[in-house]
Amino acid sequence: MHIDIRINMAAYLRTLAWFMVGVILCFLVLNDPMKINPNMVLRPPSLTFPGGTDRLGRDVLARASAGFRASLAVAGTAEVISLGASLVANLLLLLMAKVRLKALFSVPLLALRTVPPFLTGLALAALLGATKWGLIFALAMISFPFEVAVVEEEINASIRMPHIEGAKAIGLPYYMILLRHVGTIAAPRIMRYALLDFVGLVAFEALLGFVGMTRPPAPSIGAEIYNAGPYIATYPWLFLVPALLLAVGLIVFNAGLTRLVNRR
Amino acid sequence: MFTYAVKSVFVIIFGVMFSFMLFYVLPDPAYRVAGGFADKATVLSIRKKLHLNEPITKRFVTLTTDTVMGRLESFYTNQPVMILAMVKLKVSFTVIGFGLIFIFVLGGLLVAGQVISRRLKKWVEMLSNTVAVVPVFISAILLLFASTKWGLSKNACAGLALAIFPSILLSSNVVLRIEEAKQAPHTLVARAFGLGKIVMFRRMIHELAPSFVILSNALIFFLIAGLAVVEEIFGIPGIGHWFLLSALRLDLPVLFAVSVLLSLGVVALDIFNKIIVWLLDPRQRNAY
Repeated sequence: MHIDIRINMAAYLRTLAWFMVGVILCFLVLNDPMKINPNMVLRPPSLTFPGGTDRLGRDVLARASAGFRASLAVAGTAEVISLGASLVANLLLLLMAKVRLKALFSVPLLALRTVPPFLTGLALAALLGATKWGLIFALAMISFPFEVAVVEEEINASIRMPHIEGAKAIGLPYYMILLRHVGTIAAPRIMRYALLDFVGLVAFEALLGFVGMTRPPAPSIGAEIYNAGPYIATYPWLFLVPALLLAVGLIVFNAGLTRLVNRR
Repeated sequence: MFTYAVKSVFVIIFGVMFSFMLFYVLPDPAYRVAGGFADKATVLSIRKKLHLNEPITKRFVTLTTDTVMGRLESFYTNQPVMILAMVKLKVSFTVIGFGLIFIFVLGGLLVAGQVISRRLKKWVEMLSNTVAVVPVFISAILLLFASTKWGLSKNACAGLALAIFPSILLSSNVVLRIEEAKQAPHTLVARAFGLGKIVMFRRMIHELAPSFVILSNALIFFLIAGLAVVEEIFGIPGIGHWFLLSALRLDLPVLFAVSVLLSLGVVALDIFNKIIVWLLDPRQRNAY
């Protein structure tokens, strides 16, 4: 018993440690990321500027960290919107299935998946402008077509379970079956997908920043990496600091969330 | 099979309609194309050129017909989109070819590494999981640096950058299915009956059929997103670079035509996948 508790505690602490590293990466803003220092241009990493400075004398680490935090916020909001929209779409699908008109709704949803999500996201971000909500909407559109399919699959798998058949047979109201039985089975699995999809959306947000969907001078980790590309040989910290921060951040959040969902 | 064919036709129609809604109806693209400081006359001329003054149904029919007949022209270069797409595709073929080679070479090595020994499997798995999370644009920049420093082929490095994630996806899926198939009751029974190695290998191919479907789906996803980024970084004037440029400068005819072509491509790929699974796995044949 004591050993079990100790093992559980150790596992929880390890999961917590991953998230702590992730949170630390978001708050490495030791200097103002927007402040220009003309006297400190292109300085290598030092105690004052742990990530070095860029062409305008701005702190590279602070900009990368602030950009990563912005990516997490945008991707998180997009994931919540996409998940909410997927649940609503699936409720509509279930209602349509009740009146045998499911194809009316399922075929357009299937068609959404034929247009590649990166194209949709990039075009939407370009059309709506690189504003915060433009990016959120674009990322939600990247995630939605696949999330809706996963939610549908999980709900259908839950509905096919024998005890749901039993609940139907004894005449429980449909909404109660959905809320109390299907919901409790499908929700953890859907959350599992959503959490891992969130890490993918963070990478996509950085990718959109990389291809130019940013609003300078606000820090964007993707744009920082893009701007540093030509200077990789001469001023390597310009590339290495944001690239490593993004890579480590994604690895940490992916590992932490994977541990979390596996425990569930 | 008939239901599937009818469904596919409707999926294509809805896909084209979705692209049309996205690019030509939802936001008014004339203002975005013209920019914030454009005068009224410029906006009006853009509206005329993009058929935005026409009623929605007429606009949809004109655009779809022009796309199908190959008459749709780029907003900026006034060249037919289809001809441009073919020219750009030719340039991209080398990168795609290298990408495919690397997918199978890297994928094969990763599968071998995981199958050979349990200790190696743990390390390969950890390495794969870590590398898979690193975005393509970081690995592509590092490979560009390597290609410049050591004089490696640009196309090969671009192909390698493109292949990293799909090869990891392929290898992890193949290993998972091999392990599942080894433990499946029918495999154990077949082994108990002393079936030969060739028969067992054929059984394994049946089990691996879904892996190729996943790979082909991932390929179309990564060839579109990855190719754009990789070609942009390596400065290769292929279809990915063209598409990215068109998206950034809102060349709507190009975006519409490309998305229609891709919708058709995705549906064709789905049919191809079904045929491959049908050929590789006899158990699936009754499903269609």
